[in-house]
Amino acid sequence: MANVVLSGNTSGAITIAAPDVSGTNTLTLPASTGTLLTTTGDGSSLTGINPSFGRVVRTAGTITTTSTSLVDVTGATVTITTGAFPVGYGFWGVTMNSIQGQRVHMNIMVDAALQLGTQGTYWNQEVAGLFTNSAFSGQSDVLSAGAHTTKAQWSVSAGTGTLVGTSANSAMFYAQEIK
Amino acid sequence: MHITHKLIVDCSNMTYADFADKCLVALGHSPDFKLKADLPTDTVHGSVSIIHYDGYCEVTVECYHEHEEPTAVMSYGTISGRESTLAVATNIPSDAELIARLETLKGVV
Repeated sequence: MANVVLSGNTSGAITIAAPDVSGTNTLTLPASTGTLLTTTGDGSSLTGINPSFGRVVRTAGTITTTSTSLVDVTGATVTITTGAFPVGYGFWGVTMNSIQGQRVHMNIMVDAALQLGTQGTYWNQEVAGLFTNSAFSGQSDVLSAGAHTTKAQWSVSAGTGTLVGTSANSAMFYAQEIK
Repeated sequence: MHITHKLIVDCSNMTYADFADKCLVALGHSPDFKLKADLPTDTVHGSVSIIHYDGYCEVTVECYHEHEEPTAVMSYGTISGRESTLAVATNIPSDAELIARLETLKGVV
């Protein structure tokens, strides 16, 4: 028998249908009272539940900049298609400013919106010649459903900023949908 | 204006910042064509960003074509925004001239 038909008390019927080629499988019902969810009913959120994500790992090519206004961190761009959810982002790297007392700023731009103020988070070069762990993370506001581009940007207050990207000391940037 | 030029030079015997300074000097970094700030409140005419690969570098030079005042804002004791002034240089070198200047680093560095 391919189908099991359950007739309604008043009218109509529910047909439980097996695939034409069913193999040997068992569908176990819960030992409790409940209602089955369908993809077009209350169970719609159960489809496409895997979040979108992307990352960039910089292993070859330490970068420097003298820009005092934010410029893109080379290659640190991730475009993902999301639902109406926030995006979580993170950056890891080691930086240095060539002038003691000056800063390296880092910021995140989601589409055209800077996430960490007009300048961003920063690290002050307290000791000359010392690289600093410049890791941070954050979360965007809820985005509209669709494609969104998240990128890392940086600048310096003065001097030359260095962001290390080697096989020994890689820089990483990631963005992932939160759902 | 942005120009990006791939420069094949061996810069393994110096720090990244030192090589960046070599590029700045070659490009004509001066008070009239300032490509790096010494102080946050400096007026700069452009910037130089470099990707330091093994054996070669990619140098990007940005020359500012619009004057922009600082955007500094003090909030809770923290400075945000940009403190420098972005100015248009009186004589902006052509792309070809900037590339020629970078090429002078070959055999020097």
